[in-house]
Amino acid sequence: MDIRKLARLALLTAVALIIFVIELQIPNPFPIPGVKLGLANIITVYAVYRYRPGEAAMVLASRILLGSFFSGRAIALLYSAAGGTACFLGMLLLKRVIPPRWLWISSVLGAVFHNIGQIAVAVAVIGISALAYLPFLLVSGCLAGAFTGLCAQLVMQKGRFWRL
Amino acid sequence: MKRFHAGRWIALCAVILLLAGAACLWLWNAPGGDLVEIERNGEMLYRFRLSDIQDAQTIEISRPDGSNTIVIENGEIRVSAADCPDQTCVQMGPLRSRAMPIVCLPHELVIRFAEETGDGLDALAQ
Repeated sequence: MDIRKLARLALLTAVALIIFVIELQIPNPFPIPGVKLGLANIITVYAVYRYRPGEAAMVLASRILLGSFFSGRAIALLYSAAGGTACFLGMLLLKRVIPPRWLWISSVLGAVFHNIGQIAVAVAVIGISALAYLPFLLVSGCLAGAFTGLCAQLVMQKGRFWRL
Repeated sequence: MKRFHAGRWIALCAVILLLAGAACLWLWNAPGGDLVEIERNGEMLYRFRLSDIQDAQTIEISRPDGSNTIVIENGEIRVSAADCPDQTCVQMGPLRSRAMPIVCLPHELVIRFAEETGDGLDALAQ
């Protein structure tokens, strides 16, 4: 990998982390475990479409790992790693059928994969009753996913200008 | 690349959203119950009837990995304090639906309405 690309990926990771840390400061109005905006996924979605799978995976993995250090919520690492992996694998498949012009659709379905991954861990940890939260996560995931997807589309357009 | 049918994919998203929304409404409005179970790390700690508890009571569940304070009053049960950073279980308020337990993910605490089975209810009541 050339240095230019390494620098770009590092920059993307840093941007994702900044978004993640800022989002931590926003109080969550919905008292449902696991519900959040997930603004840092603007970068994830963008990286999946813009870079090779391995490169996007590095950005996502670094952000999740460092994000959990920054937030100090060790248990959240388990959930975001499972959700992130499910979302990432799902989106690699979606990328093959959904063109960048419709990236937001890909992002919505990616969020659905993310929620299913999270809930799978919750079911493993606390039991089948955690399944009750899936519909709440799905509703918030679809809406947040559409928003982050649209933002990522914007980054795609502007990114060409900034040569990201 | 095959022709991309945006309409179908948008319809798929809309269907997921609508189904999930309907499930939310159902879960949120599901009836409550009387028999309550409190579980920590998969281990059942308490099982009692809310109607059996007349005066307000506080249950302190402290473990090395974190603690929660549970309050039972006026026939309702809720988490009043937790020493985790996210406080989701406190913000959830009282347990209201049989389908939706209160959970504290960091502490693996679950408070839920149990199915009425009629066997030795008071065995674990404290």
